Amino acid sequence: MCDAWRVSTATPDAAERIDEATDLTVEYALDTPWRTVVWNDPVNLMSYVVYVFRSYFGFSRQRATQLMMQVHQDGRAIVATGTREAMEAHVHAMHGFGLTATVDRLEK
Amino acid sequence: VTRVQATAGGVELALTSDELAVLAATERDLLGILSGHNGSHDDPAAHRTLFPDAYRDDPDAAAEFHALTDDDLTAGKRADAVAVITVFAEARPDGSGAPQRRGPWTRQSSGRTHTVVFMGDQLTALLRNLTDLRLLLADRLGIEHDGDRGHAGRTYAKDRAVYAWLGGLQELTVSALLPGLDAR
Repeated sequence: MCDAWRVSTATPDAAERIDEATDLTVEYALDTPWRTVVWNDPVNLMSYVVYVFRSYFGFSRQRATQLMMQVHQDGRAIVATGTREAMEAHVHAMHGFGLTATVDRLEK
Repeated sequence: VTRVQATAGGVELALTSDELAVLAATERDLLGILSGHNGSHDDPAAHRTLFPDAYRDDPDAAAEFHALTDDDLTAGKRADAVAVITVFAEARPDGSGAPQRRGPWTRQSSGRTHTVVFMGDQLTALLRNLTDLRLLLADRLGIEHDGDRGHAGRTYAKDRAVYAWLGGLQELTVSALLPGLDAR
């Protein structure tokens, strides 16, 4: 992700508040083996990714920022789990926002 | 210099005539690519970025997803671009009606500021459309990794500048929307 626009103060401030001990993995139920993965890309702004996570998924500011940082640092983050249809709808929506997202299946 | 500020129920953008012209030209490029989205791609790189695969390790599933959803994605991206173009088409130069100061020391009227207000769904369209424009330019500039500023050299100077400007415009617009998100 891109953070060339230092005019923004919101993202770094929020990022500093992330507790390193916070578990960033997403809990999932065994009967919902599909998931939505958002991938890092060099174009999208960190602030915009947080905005998308908050406005589309309704995540809290803290949760959205955690997931954005996970995408930024680890290259990807699981943002949802559920049925294949629901995950495909999320991926379609993410592509509409210009984010790179994929559907995949949890390992058995 | 682009100015962005929150107003009652919306976000106000002030752009110069030059910026408006650059934006319009980039929108035309985007609409051109979107109208060519019918399977035979003139610009494969831009298509990969604007229409990513939904399945990373399953080409068949990825192809099926493209076949089922790309028309809808194209329509959404085109609607966003048209919404943004429509708002900017109504831009009027600030202080229109008043005589412009002119002299050998002033450059044309290219620096005149035009103010528009985006409200509600128009703001979502603006953010999504600015992203599409930047994805398009990033492909043209060969931007591949974080911190990559794109191809060097004079040939790409304008695209680099537009890419950076659109990023700043988007950052400012997101910032202007944050108080509204926090209040939800």
